[in-house]
Amino acid sequence: MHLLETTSGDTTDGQEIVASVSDPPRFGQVFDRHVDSIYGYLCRRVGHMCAEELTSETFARAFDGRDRFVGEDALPWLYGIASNLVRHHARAERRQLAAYARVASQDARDQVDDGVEGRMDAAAMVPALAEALRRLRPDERDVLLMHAWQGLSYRDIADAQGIAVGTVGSRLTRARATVREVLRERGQLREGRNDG
Amino acid sequence: MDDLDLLRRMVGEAPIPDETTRARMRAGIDERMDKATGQKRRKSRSAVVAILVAAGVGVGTLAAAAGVIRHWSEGEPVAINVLPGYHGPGSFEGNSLAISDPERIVASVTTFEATVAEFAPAIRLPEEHDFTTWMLHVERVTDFLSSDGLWRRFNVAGSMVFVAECQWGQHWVDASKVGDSTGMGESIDVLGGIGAWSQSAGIDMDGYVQDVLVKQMKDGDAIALQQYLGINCGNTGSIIGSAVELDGFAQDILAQALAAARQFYDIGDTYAGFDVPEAEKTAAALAWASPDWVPSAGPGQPNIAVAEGKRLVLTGESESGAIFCIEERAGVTTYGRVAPVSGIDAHVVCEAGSWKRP
Repeated sequence: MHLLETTSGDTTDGQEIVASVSDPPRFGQVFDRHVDSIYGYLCRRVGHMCAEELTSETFARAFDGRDRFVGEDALPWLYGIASNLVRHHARAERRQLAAYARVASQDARDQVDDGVEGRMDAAAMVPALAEALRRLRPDERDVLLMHAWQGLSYRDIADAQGIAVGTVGSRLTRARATVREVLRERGQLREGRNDG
Repeated sequence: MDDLDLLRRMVGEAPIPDETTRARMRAGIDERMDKATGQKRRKSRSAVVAILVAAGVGVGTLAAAAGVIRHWSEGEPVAINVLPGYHGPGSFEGNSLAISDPERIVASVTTFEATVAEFAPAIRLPEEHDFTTWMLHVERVTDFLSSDGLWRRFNVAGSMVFVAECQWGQHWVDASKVGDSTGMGESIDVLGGIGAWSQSAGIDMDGYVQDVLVKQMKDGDAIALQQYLGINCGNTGSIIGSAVELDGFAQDILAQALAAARQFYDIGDTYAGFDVPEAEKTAAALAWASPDWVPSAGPGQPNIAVAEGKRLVLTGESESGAIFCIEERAGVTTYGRVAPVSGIDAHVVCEAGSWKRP
């Protein structure tokens, strides 16, 4: 999805950012292209209450560091900044996870479309999933959620986090193993069905 | 349906900001771009103010003048008006509070202190407590002239309510240690009121204060409450000087040290070779140490006690005197406290259970 956003205008993010070093208002293009993605990601991570502030902060930091940006697509870079900011708002993230667990998101239920049993399973698993996310190391949680929630590729996550693609793979493997372990502990995982 | 599918379905579609929210965020970056070009985008700002007016946020009206802030009372620990209407989960974006805020960005120490002074009488703290330590902490870590200057008046008010939660939590812990049932009961009553206000304002999305904190108090679960205070209130200036605050700071340093060690591990699948020079390459800001047998080189320093193969033991001393540890052994992580050691050849023993990961 973000590839479309990057190339939807006449210029790439990289070109706008380079131009914004001498002509700062050009950075507004980057904001307009990606604000919805970053806001959506942060809402999912820390809730609406903090998302606006952290989205603003993400773009402010990106603007301040624009002379160091290298590349064409700014979205992975912005996700990296946003993820770092989330780490300083652990309390908000814990609350958001608690909210998921309590509410068992009606949205999630509505979107499960594989029958009554599937709907019940998905709703029942939300508290266990929230618990699993709480247990993860911050760097593992970042990688997992960028992949699962935002659909970033290994390469994009590597760019966002400033790590090797192989490290993305190992963190993702560990994170998913933890998720499955918690689901198993909570009796929510049937062997051979949910292991993905 | 695998675990990734489940995670996607857990959150549903990504929220999209409404026009008002997008305009406010755009105003922040516009201001930054304006500063960089030495120009002012008055037209753009005016448009944002117009949107805020349309959204029902008062412009240029001092909160106090409008009577939205009163002195706290016995039955009203937070005496800040909440606008009528539904302010449930996700609705809080500042406009659930009757605080005039439009362009009142708190962009200087002076403005910040004036804002704290304005709201302080409206938020009940335990006797002889105040917001000074927290205020100084914020001033120390915030660059009001840069991006952190995006604080607004409702952010300040919300943060002050959080400080009150921490201080009342600590008040209960202190009272419970000396069997002061009056103090414990007072904490429960006041925190209950704070929780109710926070929910009505949409700040406490899921009734966390009442469901978790107050429940822990009513259950007499001092350990759980102390863990909460250490994790959430530590190193925020909310309860500085208490053992919880100091322990929280030590634990935070250890958590940062662990993150650095794991980066090292990710490269070679071993902790062997993770020493002070290597650690400094990843986290230079930490004052790393690697004493031979002593579990601590002093408060504030993460110590690499063991680093070999798949095993890692980090220790860190709090100024309270407690020495905390994190041990990784074959993929299992233990957060604990260092058991007393004796003799120069004693090994560090990390006993689990005294704190949780941040």
